[in-house]
Order: sequence, then structure tokens, then C-alpha cells
Amino acid sequence: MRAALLIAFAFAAAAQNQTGAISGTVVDSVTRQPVKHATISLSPFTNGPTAPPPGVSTDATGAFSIQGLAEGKWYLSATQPNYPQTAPHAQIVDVKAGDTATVALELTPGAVVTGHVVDEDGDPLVGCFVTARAAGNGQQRSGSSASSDGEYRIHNLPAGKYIFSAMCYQPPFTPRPLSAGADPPPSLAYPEQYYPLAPDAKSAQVVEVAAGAEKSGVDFQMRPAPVTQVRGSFSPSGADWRSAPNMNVTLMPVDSPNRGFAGRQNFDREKGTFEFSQVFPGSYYLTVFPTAPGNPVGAFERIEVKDRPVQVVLQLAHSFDISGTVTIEGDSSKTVALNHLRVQLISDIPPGGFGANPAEVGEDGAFTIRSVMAAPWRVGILGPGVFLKSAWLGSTDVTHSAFDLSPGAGPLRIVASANMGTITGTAPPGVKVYARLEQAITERMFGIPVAMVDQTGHFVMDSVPPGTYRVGAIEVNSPIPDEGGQEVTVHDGETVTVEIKPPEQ
Amino acid sequence: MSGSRAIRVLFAIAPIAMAQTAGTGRISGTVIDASSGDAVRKAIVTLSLQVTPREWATARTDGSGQFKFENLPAGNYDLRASKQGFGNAIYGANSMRETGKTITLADGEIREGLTLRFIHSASISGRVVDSDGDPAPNMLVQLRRFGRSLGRRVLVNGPSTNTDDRGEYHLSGIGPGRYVLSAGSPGSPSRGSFSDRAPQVLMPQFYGGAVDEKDAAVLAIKDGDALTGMDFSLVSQAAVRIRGRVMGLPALPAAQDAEPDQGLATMHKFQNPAFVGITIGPVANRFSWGQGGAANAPDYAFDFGWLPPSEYRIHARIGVNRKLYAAAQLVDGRGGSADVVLTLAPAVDIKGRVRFEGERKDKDNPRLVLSASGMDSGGNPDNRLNAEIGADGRFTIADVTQGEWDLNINLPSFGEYLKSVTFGDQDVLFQPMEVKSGSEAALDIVISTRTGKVHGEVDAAGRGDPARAAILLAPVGRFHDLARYYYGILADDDGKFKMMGIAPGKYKIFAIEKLAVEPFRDPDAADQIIALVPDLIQEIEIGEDADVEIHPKLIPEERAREILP
Repeated sequence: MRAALLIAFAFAAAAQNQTGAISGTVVDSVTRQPVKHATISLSPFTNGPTAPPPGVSTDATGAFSIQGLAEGKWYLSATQPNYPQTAPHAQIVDVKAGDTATVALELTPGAVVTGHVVDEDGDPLVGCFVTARAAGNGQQRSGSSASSDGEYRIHNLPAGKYIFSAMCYQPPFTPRPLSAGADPPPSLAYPEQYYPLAPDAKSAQVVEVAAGAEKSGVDFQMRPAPVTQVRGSFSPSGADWRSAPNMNVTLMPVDSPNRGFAGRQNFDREKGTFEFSQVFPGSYYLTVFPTAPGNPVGAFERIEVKDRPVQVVLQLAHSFDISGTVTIEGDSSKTVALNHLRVQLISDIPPGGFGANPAEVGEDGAFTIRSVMAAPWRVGILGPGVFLKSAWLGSTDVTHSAFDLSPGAGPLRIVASANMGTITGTAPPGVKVYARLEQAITERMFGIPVAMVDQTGHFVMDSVPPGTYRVGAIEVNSPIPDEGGQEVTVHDGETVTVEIKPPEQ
Repeated sequence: MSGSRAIRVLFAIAPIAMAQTAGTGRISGTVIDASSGDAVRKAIVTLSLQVTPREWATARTDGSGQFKFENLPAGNYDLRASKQGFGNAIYGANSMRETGKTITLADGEIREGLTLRFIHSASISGRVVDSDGDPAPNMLVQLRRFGRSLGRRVLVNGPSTNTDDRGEYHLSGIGPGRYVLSAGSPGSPSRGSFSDRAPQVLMPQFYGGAVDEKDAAVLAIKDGDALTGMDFSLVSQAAVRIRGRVMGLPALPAAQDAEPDQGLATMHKFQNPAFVGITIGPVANRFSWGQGGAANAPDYAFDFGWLPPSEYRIHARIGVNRKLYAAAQLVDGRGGSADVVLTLAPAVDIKGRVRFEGERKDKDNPRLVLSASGMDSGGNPDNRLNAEIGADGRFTIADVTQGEWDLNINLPSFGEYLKSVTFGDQDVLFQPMEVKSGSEAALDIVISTRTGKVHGEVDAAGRGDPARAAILLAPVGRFHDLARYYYGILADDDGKFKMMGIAPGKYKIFAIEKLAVEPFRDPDAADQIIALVPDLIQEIEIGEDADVEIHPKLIPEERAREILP
């Protein structure tokens, strides 16, 4: 009895001794003012007992404290809804048993960008939207509608380099003579304009905004340009559109796939006709997306629009199935289970394009991809530890190129390989290493390989598909950049060693 | 690269010429700011010829506020101007409440120098701060006006905006009326927060400080009002934890029995998922969001994490072997955290029939929409059901879950009315219907074309000008609160009028000098008019297929204006 009590006491004391605490503050990195209501995130840096997120937030003085943490190193970072989420400053905190570590976390405030959107006469325009895209990858970061006096205000924009563009959906005024019926489609509209007065993203000025700063005068003066219409109907000899609920017709500019908008759409389900007004001259993809998984119908056309209305008759086609086989290259056929693999078709129409469900591969390597639409596609393989070595459609090599699929096409012959590469090397302890592949399509299939650098400054990325990578290091919670890094080429089965410099701030 | 698959005809077509009416008349004038007297540039001016179908022309004012229309035939015209986000003007009117004047143009006549008085629409601006007095960015500021849905009082969403990084907001283009204004977090503020400690959340608030819709201050907004300094000081409260579990699960088929997708409409319901889908949303329309979750085997428990204290409605649903099972539960989370048990019950397919009385000109069938009663957007995925009506008038509304439903029947053509709607032994004509799991009650709908007519001439008797008076029929009795039984029309320049397609029944009729009909097509406004000038109101009964002649007594404009904001 006495012994049992002693043991229990000893355990309690041990438990007490093994935990430590962190107390700290969160401040704004520019104003140095405390940040209240910031949420503290915590994750173990060294292996060991993991604690659930404590759900701790800062009080009105920007202070917080966390008790009961296992001894060891912890990553600590703060987020707050009124600060950009993209790059919190993470810190590594060494927690000692019975001790309280103190830490000062920072949050970097966003920038504010303001300006006006006016028409060709300098009058404010109503119904405009200004977008900030990251210079380089064109990723949309933020946007804001202009108010009725033409002013807009984008806030909480992470510090960085941007291009800005304005889009006004309301066409310029056209007088209407006395008449009945709907307004005729507009002959002029405002094309998207990039700052300053630039027609496209390439000629836009890159604007750098600093944390916590306000930049004003990013103004737009919209200029009308001629537009026309694209009208269409469905051919009676094609599949029946009435059987396809929620059918979606889209018109997308070929050269600016980032823009989902091309004109205004009007779809008459009864008559099977559609019309896009406010279409600027150019090349477009006209796509009918199948939305009924049961028996989908769809269509895809590339059309050229000049200065006159265009009439299109679309032949809706039913989807079809594509069959094929997967074989594994070399000896690894013994170690790779074919029935753990899936074959994935990826649309070659940017952006999005048609979708296709991945096909399960059978034990014998046979697969059938169901409900495929006639369109340009690329092929990839999904599965642990394999990459696409080669792919053939009939006698055509489609390993690295897009191919058209139509009913009766096939079979697809796919050779997969388990001969993956490895990237290893040294980097500053505690950072994250990423490897970006030059081939975007493979990167989309595999995701971006990342690895943590251990305390001795080493990292290993195994099972990377062969290819040319840009390898770099970033802070743990930072986003993976689109540019930078050192070029590394990995061949089949090869291990490449690299030395990585400290991350760029 | 891929054009070969489709038969494709690509050609350019000539622009369609519009049918144009020509004449030699002209109308021109200026749009002038009613308050400053300045010219209003770039206002869109619309000139409408009073013919059927309506013909109209548009022009835009130049830098000196001038506009002109040419090649006009003789006729009666209405003239209006508007500038998006700024305001409007009606020819001959001093406020947007008035119907204005008709322009009668003779053959070849030239009318110059017309003046339209431009009335600024109202605007509201202010700042939202948190409990420490710091700016609250990204808060949703929402204006709502009073309306009716199936006779019940509801708040209808008007314009809304978000506060900027300074906590500031500005709403413009607001029409006159009675409103409530609220500010709050636009989404569920604690999404994904499952910590042990309750976080503090900013509570949504009505202008004036009320938390409850019932206590909200009413803003009477007039044209030209620019309400500034409409500030909010939001208060933080400890969040509440809502969790629970789902009972009454039917036997689930093995995973491989999952059926192939049957098309998008049915797919989401019948996937035989391994979990029960759960949604939660606030009952009041104060801040409209819904949050989804799942209750998983084996205990089918769910946890929404920390939410703002509020009254919530929770829904649970699962499709098993193409049959929907659902449950709904109200949870009062205002007093603290709550544990909820939801018991699933199979949905029912309601069968019914539409019958017609009288002769129909239009053979289109009505559209039936069943929407869950008293529901806002708070997350019920099954709260709007549609039914196709067959050629024989029969229909089935599939997958109706247990609870109260509102039946909306959109009549296909003018001159028809809903005569009766019964569900089993319930009279559900403009009343919620109670659906019980396992119910086999049928829905019977009778639509009649035997509507009545009213015609007559306004009896002005020295009280004012009968030209373009607003004529209004307000129902008496059972349908008093139903906005659809309020019929309004404008008298012509001689004070004569004709109304058709009126559902048979008893009505009060009145004529209002100069003012537009719309603000009076409301049970409360009509009651106030009746109380204000009882001697000028008459009651009439309109029978099936009847044509009643009546001379309503003119109510002077200044009397009627007393009840408007």
C-alpha cells in the first residue's frame, strides 16, 4: 500500500517535471504595436509527443501563454484575420522541463492600395472590379469593387510585387431609338485594363507595395473597344441537350486563360441556343461542360472572332470510354502492385477544361477510363513510388504531348517506372526545402516535393520523378515561390546531392 | 486541332435591325439636381411611349445636363432619368413617390426645355469598431427592409457592403422606406476552432445596439438622405459549443453496393455515403451563413466547434438506397453550449394534382416550388424542392423531409388565381403545410380563371387632381396580409381606370392623388390609410367573372404622404 502510493507520487512528479511552458507576445512588425486576437499555432519540431493545438490567442496587450508542453523544440507562429495569411514568421522555441520560455512573435501587416476607375471622359465608372495579381505567376491575391464615385480600396495585401487590372462589366452607353423589345447587344465594351493604361499583363507596370504602407493613385481610365457576339445552337444530328441538366457553355480567351470571363452569356434551354455578347476580337475556346455524370454530353471548339457576329453550330457528343494497359518497367514489376495505380487524363484546354475520373488499374494492368469527352488530353499515372515512363496512343508517343481523343480511340499503352530519383543535401537547420519541376503537368500529378531540414542540417527527398527541378529553401510556413532556386536534374534512379543557401527573406 | 469532330458552320451574320417607330416629333430638356440646381451629366434618360407592347428610347445627358429625342410619333409619353448609385428623376414629379406627368405629343410637335428634377437616392456611411474601440474590418453591413412572405412579416435583404481596413463602410443608391441596419461577421467566425477554451466572438448587432431583430431600431429613410456617422460598437461574447449525435440510422448497404451516379440532381442524395451530412445555420436572418459537417460511424457524433451564441437550426441527412432520411432540430445556443440528438426519419414523396376551373387561354402548367417554412439560407440543402406537372395535372414532389413547408405556386398566366389548396385534411392555401414522415396525404390544387374586373372613374369632388391617381384594392378578411391580393394601377389622365384578373372576394378600394402605387401595396400601409381617411374608403365585393363599376373617392396627396417615411 505504501509502495503503491509512493510510485503514484513519483509519476506525478515526473509528469510535472517533463513539461514546460511558453509565454510571449505578438507585435506588428511595422508599428511595433501589440496584436490582439492573434491565434497561436504550435507544432513539434523534434519528434516526440505531439500536443493538440492549444487554441491560444493573444489578449488585448498582445500577450499569450501556453502551459503543459513536452520538453523539446516547438514551431510557433501567429495568425490574425486582419493580417495577410501568406507568410507568418515562425519561430523555433526550446522548451525545458519546469521552465517558461519567452518568445516574441511578429505579424507583418498588409498594404493598402487605392485608386479610381474612370471612363474615357474622366467620369467615375460604376460596376468595376480591380484585381491585384502577384507579378510572376499571375495568381490573384486580392480585389475590390469600385464604389459609385469610382474609388476602390484593396487592403490586407501581402507586401510584394503586383500587377493591377480593372474590369468594367457595364458597356458604354449607346442611345436607343424609340422601339420595342430588348436592347440590341452593345457594339462597344471596356476591355480589361492593366495599370498604367496597359492592354495586357505583359505591358503592365509591376508595383511594389511595402508592409503596412498605403499606395494611392493606382488609377484606371477605361477605353471602349469594339465588341461583337458569338451565337450558337446545337446541331440536331448531335446528342440531345435537353437530356443534360445544368449544361454549362463557356467562352474562354485562348491567350489569357486566367480570365474566366469572356462576354455575357445567355443560354436558352428550350431552343437550345446560346449567345455571348461583349466579345472582343480574338481566339477563344468554346466549351460545353458536361455536368451530368450519368450520360454526359459536351463539346469543344476553338473559334476565331473578328469584328462581326459569329454563328456556331455545335455538335454535342456523348462521352465514351478509353481502355488500355499499364506495364511496369524492369525488375520493379515485382515490387509494384498494379492494382494500386490509377490512370488520370488531364485536360489540355486551359484552364480547367473537361474533367475525367481517374481509372483504377486491375491486377493484370488493364484499365478503362469512363465518360471521356472528345478533346485534347494528356495522360498521367498516380500511385505510390511510380512515374510515367512512356505512354502510347496506338503508335503515337504521347508521353510528353497532348493528344486528341475521339470514340474508338485507343488503346492507351502506359509504361510506368518505379525507378524514382532522390534529392538530398544540406541546408540551414529548421527550414523547408522544396523542389519545383519544370514540367507543370507532372508537378500537378505529384504535387511539389518538400522536405524538412533536420537539426544537423540535412534533408532527403526520396521518390521524386525524374526531371529538371529548381530546388530552394524557405521558412516553414512560407508559401512555395514560383521563381528562384537552383537547377537540379534528376535521372531515373539517381540520387543528386545539393547544398542550399539560407532562404531569401 | 480538334475541329474535325463536330459539324461546324461558322459564318458572320449581319446585325439585326430593330423595328423602329418613326415620326417627326421632338422632345428635349435638361436634368437638374433638385437640391443644388446644377446640371446632372451622364444621366440615362428613358422616354416611354404608352403603347402595348411598350416602346421606349434612351438618351444620355451631356456635360450641361441636356438630352434630346428625335423622330418621335404622336402619342402619350412617360419621361424618367436615372444615374446608377446616385438617384433618379421623373418628369413632373418633385419626389420619387409621385407618378409624374404624361407628355402628350401631337404629330410633328416639338417640346423643348423640359426640366427633370433629379432626386438623390439616400446613402448611409459609418464605422464599425470592436469592443476595444479598434476598427473592425471585413464586417458585413446589411440593410434590410420590411416585407411579407405568405403574409408573415419578414426582413428582406437590401444592399450590403463590407467594412474596409479602417472599419468604414458606405452604402448608396438606397430607395426611400423603413429599414433596419445590421453589422456583423459575414461568416461563421470560429470555423475550425475546436480548442478547449471558448474563444471570444464579435456579436452581430442592429443599428442602435439591439442584438435581437425584434428590438432593432427602424430607420425611416427619405430620398436625398445622407446618413453619416452610422457607427457600430460591436460587443464580444464567449462562443458556444454545439455538438450532438444522430440516431435512427437505417441499415447501411455495404460500400460496394453504392449505386453508379444517376445524374447531378440525384447524385448528391443517393451516394450511399458512410456518414450523415450535418448542417447548421442561425435561425434568424441576421447573418446568413451555414456550416457543414459530418457525423461518422460508429457513434454518428458531430461537433461544430465554437459558434457565436445564437438560436440555430441543425439538419441531418443521408441517402440510403435512393431514399432520403433526414432530421431537423432547433437549438437555443444563446444561453451556452448545447448537446443535441437528431433522430432521422424517412422523407416522403408527396403526390398531387392540379385542376383548372374556367377557360384557359394559356396551356402552360404552373410551377410548384416547395420551400421549408421560416427558413433562411442557414444551411438546409433540401429546403427548396420543385415539381414538374404532367399533362394530366398530376405531379410528385420527391424527398420531402418531415417539417413545415411553404408551397409557392407560380401561376403561368395573368387572370388566374389559386382557388384552393389542400394537403390531406389541411387547408394550405397560403399557409404552411405540416409534413409528417410516412404521410400519404395528397396535395390538391385548384386554379381558376374566373377572375373579376373593376372599372370606373376617380371621384375627386374638389379634393385634388384625379389624373394618374393610384388605384388600390386591399383585400378584406382571410387574405388581408397577403401582398399578392393587393392590386394597384394608375388611373389615366382623366382619372379613369380598368383592372382585370382580380381574385374573387371582398376588397377596400381607394384612390390616392399623384403618388405611386407601390408603397401602398402593403397590408400595414393600407391599414394606415383606412384608419386615416375612413370616409374616403369604400368596400366592394367582386364575384367570379364579375365586372364591377366603382367611383373611388380621391385621397389628397398630402394626407396619404402622412403615412410614408
